[in-house]
Amino acid sequence: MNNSTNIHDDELNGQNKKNPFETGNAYFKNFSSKIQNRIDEYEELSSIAPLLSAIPKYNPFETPKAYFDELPTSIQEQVIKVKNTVTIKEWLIQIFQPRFLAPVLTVLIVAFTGINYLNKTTTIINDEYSIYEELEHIDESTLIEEVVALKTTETTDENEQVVDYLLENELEDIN
Amino acid sequence: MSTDDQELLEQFKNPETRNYAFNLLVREYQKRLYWHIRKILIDHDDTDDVLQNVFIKVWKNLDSFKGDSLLYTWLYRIATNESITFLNQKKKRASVPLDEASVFLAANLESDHYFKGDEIQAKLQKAILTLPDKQRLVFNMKYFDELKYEAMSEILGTSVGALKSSYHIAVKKIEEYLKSN
Repeated sequence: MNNSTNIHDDELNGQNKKNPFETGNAYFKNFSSKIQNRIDEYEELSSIAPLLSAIPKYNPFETPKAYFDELPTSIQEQVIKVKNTVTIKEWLIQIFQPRFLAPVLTVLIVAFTGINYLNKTTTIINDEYSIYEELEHIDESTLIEEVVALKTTETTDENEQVVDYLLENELEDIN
Repeated sequence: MSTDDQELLEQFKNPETRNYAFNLLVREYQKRLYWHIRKILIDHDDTDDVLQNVFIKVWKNLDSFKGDSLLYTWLYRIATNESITFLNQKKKRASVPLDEASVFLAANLESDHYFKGDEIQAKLQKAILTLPDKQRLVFNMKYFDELKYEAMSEILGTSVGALKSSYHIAVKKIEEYLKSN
């Protein structure tokens, strides 16, 4: 026991005694001038404002209990709220930046053309669909009558055209 | 800029350590900024509002901080601007002239539950409140925060000479107030 204590003491008293602390580079160089500046300031204050310099300088304000312990959490919560709104805003700002203008315009044009094309196709399909749907509701016999009537009209028209043609040609021959 | 601040900024730029770095920044500077704002606005609740806004602004703009000045100078500048803007808005709402804040803030001081100063401290605070906003700011930064004129100049964007003269005038006005009251 004694031996180990002696060894320990020897280590403490040994030649490798070294201060583990350090100061800034120019700490001691500037120290006296720092102190002098503060003395000068105090003396100046005392000479122009003796009442003020006699009042003890301390902070007379307080905060609610644990305010500084809770503040970081409260600020983080606020930041998360802002983060979400900022993201949408930033996204819009980013989109309208000049470097993104060409790609954004291309996407918009492609999207517009696509939507336009889809709308047209849908209208055509809808039109076709509506014709077939209507035909389904019409009685078959009515349809046959209509087709026959149409054919008769067409034939009459064709006959009239032939007669007109013959008449015109004959007249030309006479002349 | 100190190595700690440099490291903090680098961590903030990395999305993975961004929240951690910001939390460190809040913990590191919250007290200094709080007391700076509190001396301008007097009331704790107002100070709390402004301080939260300051940190949100810091969070939004820290990426654009180039490190031309010290981080704490930049933070002080934001805190000062936010406090002055808040004070002016409050004065407008209360229809108080912008250069006349003493009555308005003295009322804050009297109703403040968190003011624990004795009679002489209350008197000193009232004397400080008679100063115009900018002069009051200079006085508080020099007298209580013991900031160097060079640092104050960076924060307030005013020359060192003008700040010295402003402080000198403020001290004389306060002394006059203390003598006459």
